[in-house]
Amino acid sequence: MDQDPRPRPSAPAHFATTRWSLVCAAGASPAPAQRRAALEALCGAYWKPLYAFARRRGQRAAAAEDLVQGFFARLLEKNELAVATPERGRFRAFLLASFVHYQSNERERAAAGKRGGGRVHLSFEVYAAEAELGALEPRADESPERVYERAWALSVLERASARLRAEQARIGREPVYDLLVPVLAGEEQARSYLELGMELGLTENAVKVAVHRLRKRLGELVRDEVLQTLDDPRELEDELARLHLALAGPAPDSP
Amino acid sequence: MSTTCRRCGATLPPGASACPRCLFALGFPSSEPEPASDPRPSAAPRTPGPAPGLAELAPLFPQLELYELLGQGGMGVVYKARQRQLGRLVALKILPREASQDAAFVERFAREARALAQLDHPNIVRVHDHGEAQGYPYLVMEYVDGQNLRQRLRAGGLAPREALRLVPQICDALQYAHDEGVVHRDIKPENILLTREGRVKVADFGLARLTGEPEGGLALTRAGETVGTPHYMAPEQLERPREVDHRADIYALGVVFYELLTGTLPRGKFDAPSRRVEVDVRVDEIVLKSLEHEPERRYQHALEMKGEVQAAAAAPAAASGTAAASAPASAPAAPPRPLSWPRELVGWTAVFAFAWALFGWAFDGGWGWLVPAGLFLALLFDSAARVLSGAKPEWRAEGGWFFGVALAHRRRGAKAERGGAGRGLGFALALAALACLALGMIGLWETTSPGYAGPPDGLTHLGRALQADYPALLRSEGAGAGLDPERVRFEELGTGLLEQPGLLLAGAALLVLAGALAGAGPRVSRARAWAAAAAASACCLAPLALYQALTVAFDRAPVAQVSAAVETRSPSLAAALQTLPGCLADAGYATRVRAYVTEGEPGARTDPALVLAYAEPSSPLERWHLGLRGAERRRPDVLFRVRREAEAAGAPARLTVSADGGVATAEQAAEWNAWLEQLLVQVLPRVY
Repeated sequence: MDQDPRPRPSAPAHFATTRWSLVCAAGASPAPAQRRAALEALCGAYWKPLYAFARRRGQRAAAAEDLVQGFFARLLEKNELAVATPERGRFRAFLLASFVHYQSNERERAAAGKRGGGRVHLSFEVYAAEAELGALEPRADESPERVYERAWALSVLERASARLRAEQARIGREPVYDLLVPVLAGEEQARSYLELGMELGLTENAVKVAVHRLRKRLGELVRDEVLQTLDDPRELEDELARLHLALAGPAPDSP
Repeated sequence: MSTTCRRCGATLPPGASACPRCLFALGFPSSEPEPASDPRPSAAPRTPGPAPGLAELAPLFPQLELYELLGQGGMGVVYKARQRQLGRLVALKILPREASQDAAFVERFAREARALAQLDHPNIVRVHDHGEAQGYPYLVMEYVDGQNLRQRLRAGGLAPREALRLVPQICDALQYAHDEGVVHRDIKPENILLTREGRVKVADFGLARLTGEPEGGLALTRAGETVGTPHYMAPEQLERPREVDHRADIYALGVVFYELLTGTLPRGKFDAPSRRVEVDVRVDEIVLKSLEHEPERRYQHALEMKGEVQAAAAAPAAASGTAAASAPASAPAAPPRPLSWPRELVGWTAVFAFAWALFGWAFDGGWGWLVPAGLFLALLFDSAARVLSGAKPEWRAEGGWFFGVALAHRRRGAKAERGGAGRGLGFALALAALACLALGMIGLWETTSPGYAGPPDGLTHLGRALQADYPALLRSEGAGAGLDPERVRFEELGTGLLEQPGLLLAGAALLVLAGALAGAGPRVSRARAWAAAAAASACCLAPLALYQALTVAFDRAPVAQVSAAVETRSPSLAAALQTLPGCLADAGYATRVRAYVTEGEPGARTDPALVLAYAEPSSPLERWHLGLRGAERRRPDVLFRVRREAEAAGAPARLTVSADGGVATAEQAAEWNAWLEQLLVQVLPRVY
């Protein structure tokens, strides 16, 4: 285990702040089970970018799945957090670096006829991932790293949207959410607030308010999701900007 | 193909409902204030920017002399102008300039404008010319001196009569354009102009489609603005804008109609027009039908709607249920279908007469003709109930009567069609009711026909009269045989089904119920449906009563009496008493009354000396023959007498059995005599 340079108060409130900080926390304050649970949750949330990365690097679907599974198994079982990386503070960077590392090791292991792990199995929906991979449409000149970042950003958004939807569902406003999703992005709409309101039985103004609130909440959730992958909350803005950039059009600086 | 977000330019994943990048950007802190939740109207309708000034336009249209700005809307700006060469006034409509940036639009505009210029109808604003001047696509149109319906509504609204006069004209315009393959897509009061002479001119045909096509990246409408006006847009226009057909115009016209009548828009749970203004309930039906959610359930053609509006306009506004009987007759000759009420009646009567003749010939009279008769009555009832209830005559146009339509609606799973099943049930009930009534009528024939005023010997089989007269008869019979009249025993075994006046009442009640169910279609008020059902019942009973009257009038043959007697020996009359009803039942007779006279003391179990049994054919089919000549008695009622004649002590008793039956005509007497003898032969061996 490497040492976290920052002093970390052991107040439980702080433990709950981000998952990644929980995993990275020095010392024995979070119980191993807690660490493991946090890591598992993170891995479960961000397997798609890894899968996309592996696919982009030429792996076939089955092989990519095996690889990601094997990687997570190893990560979770052996608690291999000792991978040296300059961006240790971000789960995204850590995960990619570890995975690359694992992949090269794995190639050697595979050559030696050994196959590791497999006892821990996160449930993946590879079919969905494949479909999304198609949706990601990697451009010919795009690096796997960029694909990884883009998939990461999409995963963040997906999780935030799912949480928002669940929140809305709890208060019975699922239909409102579903109808207003396209509007949230704020682009030119095919349908006016007035029409949407007619469909939902709301006034135009009520729709505006609802859209505003949903936007605000989605923003909060996106921030929270990103925060969960950071060790240092101060990096939030930087990470957000980076992911936002990843979602943009063709890469300005493809390696 | 991937598309890009119009806002941030990012590539959108296929199938994405929103740009992920824009969504993600919500994560950045923002200070956008929440819109006020105060439901004040947020802003005036967006206008497409400042209208080009006259000075700016004048050089572009040298052929025109521009006068003034007439109006400005989402789809362009309209100026009043004069064509210099022809000297005629025209309206120049300039479409937003952005449109012409797109080459595809320019081409489509030319194509559509050509189609619009083809529309030549007195109720459609004529398009004289079109083109593009320095980036402005324009149309030169007929100038209409007057106001549009919106202005008219603002100026103080319209009387319902006026609305009823205007809507058929709009229908005409729509039907014409639809026939030409042009759908308006944006029918609203602003687009319906009214000349000073009061003629309707529909403007802007097809322009909504032209300017609203979302394909080709053309965005003539500003952000947040939709093509068409939401309040007037059919549901499918909002949901599936590309699948819109002419029925969306009919929906929009329904909204306009409602607005013309009531001054408000039919939003949410709205009142029927007749609850707000003094109009016929049929107008409600028209408005509601044109506002049906499913296009299939609206009027399929504007012409259909026109016919009904005219019919409703022609009828006096106050048509209550009872007075309605005369109203439908005044329905003017409207579109070829549905048939008007008198035509319908004449048509069905002809069909009925033909069917009756056919069945009468095929079955040699008999009950076969009841099939067409029943059908006729049911159809008559159906028509009457439907028309009188003010329900929808166009159900016919949909290809069926109550029953058929009800089934069709159920098959379509149209839950909203309240009363669909009710109408089906109503129809079945109506048939049952008519059957009851027909049987009740036969009972009436029995009792009122002079030929059958009663059975022989003054024995009447009418209820209480029977009970009063029968002992008297027995006493006289017994006295003739030297028996004590005080020792008469009398048993009424049952009254004939057909004599039950309850049957008639039940029939009438069923009919009314059926009518209520049948008439209680969508949005026909219950009271009205009941009234209509009662009126329809009367309509149906009228032919029956007529038939009854004819039967009575022509059936004036005298009462005759035949009797047949067979003598035999019997050890006991008690056995005859017991077995006679069974024997008669086997012969198709029902024993109504049985009586006997004993020789011993009252109450003592002694052998009877005289037995009388009154019986009648148990089935109406056996009793009556309903032929082309009218109702004929087919078999007589009979009075059986079984008498023991003790001549001398120790001698075997002689048993005399006789049967009496009433007849109507002399020819029938011989026939019936033979029939009675046959009956006796059947019965006698089993009696002793």
